[in-house]
Amino acid sequence: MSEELHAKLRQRGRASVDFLANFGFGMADIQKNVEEDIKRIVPDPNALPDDLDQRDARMQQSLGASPAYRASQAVGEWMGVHHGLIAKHAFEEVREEMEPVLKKFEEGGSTVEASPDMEAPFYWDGVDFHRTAGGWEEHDYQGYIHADIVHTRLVAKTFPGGIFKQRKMVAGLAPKDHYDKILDMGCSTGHFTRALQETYPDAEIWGVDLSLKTIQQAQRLGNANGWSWKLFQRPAEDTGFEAESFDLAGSYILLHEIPADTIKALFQEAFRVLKPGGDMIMSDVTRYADLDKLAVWRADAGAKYGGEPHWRDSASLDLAKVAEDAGFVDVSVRSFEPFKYPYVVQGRKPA
Amino acid sequence: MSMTADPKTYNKPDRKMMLETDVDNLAQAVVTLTQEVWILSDRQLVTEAVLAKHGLDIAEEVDTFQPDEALQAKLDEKSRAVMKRVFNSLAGISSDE
Repeated sequence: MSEELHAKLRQRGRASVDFLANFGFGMADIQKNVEEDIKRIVPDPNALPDDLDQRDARMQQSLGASPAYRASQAVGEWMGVHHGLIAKHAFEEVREEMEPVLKKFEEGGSTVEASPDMEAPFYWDGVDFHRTAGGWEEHDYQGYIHADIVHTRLVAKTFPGGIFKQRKMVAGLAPKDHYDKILDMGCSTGHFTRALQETYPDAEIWGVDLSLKTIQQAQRLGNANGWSWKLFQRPAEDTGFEAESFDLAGSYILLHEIPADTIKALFQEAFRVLKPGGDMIMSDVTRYADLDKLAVWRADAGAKYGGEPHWRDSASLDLAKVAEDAGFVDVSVRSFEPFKYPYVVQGRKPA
Repeated sequence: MSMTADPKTYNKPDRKMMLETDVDNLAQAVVTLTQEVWILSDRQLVTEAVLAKHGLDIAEEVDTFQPDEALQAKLDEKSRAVMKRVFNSLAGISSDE
């Protein structure tokens, strides 16, 4: 985010956003108590039911007796409901001074092609991902609000490993030192697009996303840094781009926002648009297969109440097999400690 | 594996969080929070009155003020302490403060 794009929030908005940023620290004692209660209630995670819904029902019933757990759920729910609203209100306080800046960066080498007649897919249309009130398209500047306030001031401050550092690290995992043309599939507000551009400075980068508001923010980010990204409001699983036209196709933490069949279609689309010998790199959340039953429950319950309807679908999927089924060769997977996150799958289209 | 029947149900999940037995703790937490809000409101009004007495109108400057690193650290520490007091009260966890 360029400094000019970073809003100077007014006192009410600034203090409210800081309040959210410190939430995890404020809940530390409660969480400690919850963990002690979980240890007591679940001495052997392997004894939990295999079925995820039954496992959740068992955990909810058992932990219902824990005052700390009940309080943590209530406080967490407040965060889920209010974080997007607080971010939006904080923006509205500075809208008058920020709007000319945002408009200014909609001009430049980075362009957006909107698709006003696009039929939004069922898995996305009307869904408030991350419990963001109204979803991605509700506010004129939802992309900016999410990038500058939610991501930069909230998530980036506390997310283990650092959300920008992780994107840069993943971008650097692609095997070649140079790519002529790169496709960022599900580019959203451009955080991974930026990591790709910084890693491969001479590359021509195209990005697709269903959300017009988020790619408009990617456009501002691109223009503020003098980059010329071509951004399209299109589904990543059906870009309509010419076959064999990219040297690298990738995505960062998109897959858990789409259902399993769409993930498979996305890998097939990546294969289609890559030139022979082109590279694929996708990353997503920790696989359920890499976690014990208790950790899976934590992730699954977090998704259930965190506005992540497709998390289970994605986290349960064997992405290496999906990549191989799509035609990729030399498929490899890796994940990063301490949370086996992000989970990265790479492959190559045969030459 | 199949997609959730209607992903929009995740927008506002049907969720029962607190039980009737939490009401007493909840009442304690609300009072604690009210106390904190009042202390801050009192301090803010007193500060503005003292400064006005010396000919300084600070309302706009406060509104647009951007804390430096040292002040931000202090603000973070204070906000975490306030949250802990309220949240712990809600959970029935005793607090040192």
